[in-house]
Amino acid sequence: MIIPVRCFTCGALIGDKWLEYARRVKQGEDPKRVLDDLEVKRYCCRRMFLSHVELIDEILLYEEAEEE
Amino acid sequence: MTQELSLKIIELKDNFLKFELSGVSPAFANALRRTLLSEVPTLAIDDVIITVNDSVLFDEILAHRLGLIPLHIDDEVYDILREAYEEGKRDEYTVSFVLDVEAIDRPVMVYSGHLKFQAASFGSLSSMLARITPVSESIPIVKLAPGQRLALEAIAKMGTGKEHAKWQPVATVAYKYKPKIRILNPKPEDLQKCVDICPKGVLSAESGELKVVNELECSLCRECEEKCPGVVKIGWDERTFIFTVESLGMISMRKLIYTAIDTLLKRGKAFINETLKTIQTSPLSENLNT
Repeated sequence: MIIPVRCFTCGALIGDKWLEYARRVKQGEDPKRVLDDLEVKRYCCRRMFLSHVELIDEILLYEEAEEE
Repeated sequence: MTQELSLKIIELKDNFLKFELSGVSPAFANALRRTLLSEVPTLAIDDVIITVNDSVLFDEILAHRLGLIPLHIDDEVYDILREAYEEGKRDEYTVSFVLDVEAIDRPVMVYSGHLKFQAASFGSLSSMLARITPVSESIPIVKLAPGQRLALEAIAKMGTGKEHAKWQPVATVAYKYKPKIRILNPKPEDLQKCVDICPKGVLSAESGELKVVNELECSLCRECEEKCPGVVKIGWDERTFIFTVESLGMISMRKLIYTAIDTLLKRGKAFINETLKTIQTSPLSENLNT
């Protein structure tokens, strides 16, 4: 749905790094490099990014349709 | 056997600390680790009063996300809050924030930066302003579609990681024995293999000689001992620990370590007092006197 605020396992803050990660990966950069740049070191935090599917934009489309 | 207690800082960054603690038992090292994780009080949003929520997330999910936002407090304010918390006055020393965001014609992302400091139940507004802020301004809370509005008041209180992980001041605290690597008598053809096998890059081979380049990085995996026997001997010091502490930036590293040690001390003293009291009031103590 939306990126979790913290890593499920260790509790490190990850929410604030998502937008940069998503933007750079979309531009074709290697996720490994982006995560290294963002200093996401542990694999518990890294999987939070790698396995996340940002669905909120898709859900918002239906919200807009409902209003109309 | 007994070695003097000493602490040496190896690396210190804003939110990262690596230090060597020697002259203590593993039990003490673990006590310090656990105190850092669950006994150091911090500030986090605990009550949320939602007035308008048109967003796609439920009220409780929003409240949960808000709670997880780490709040930075400076050392002076922290002292006031910690003292109050320890006196059991956590509900009287609160900090409130307001958030009111509306998406007009295009989708709007609500960030932690939209939380506006409103009041603190202690001290004047101007002196507290800018001293209590979210650690990061860009944590997404929710995204609003055009026409949606989110308005709420969030009340932050002190608490410890023992109660809820949102009050945990650190992400990870870990310690390991200090590695001690001894080079035996390696055959020249074994050298490169031994260097390559180490996942942490601890060893290096220069001009036919094996050298330990960064001993502290060794994770004591003993891969080198196993794969090329007779080259190195991995050992460790059971009274010396390498601690790594990664904080979330809620309180300064100095304050964090100080508070952990102070809490540990206070609990130790409380334990001694309780024990003495129990001994003195027990019927056995009369027998002891006679």
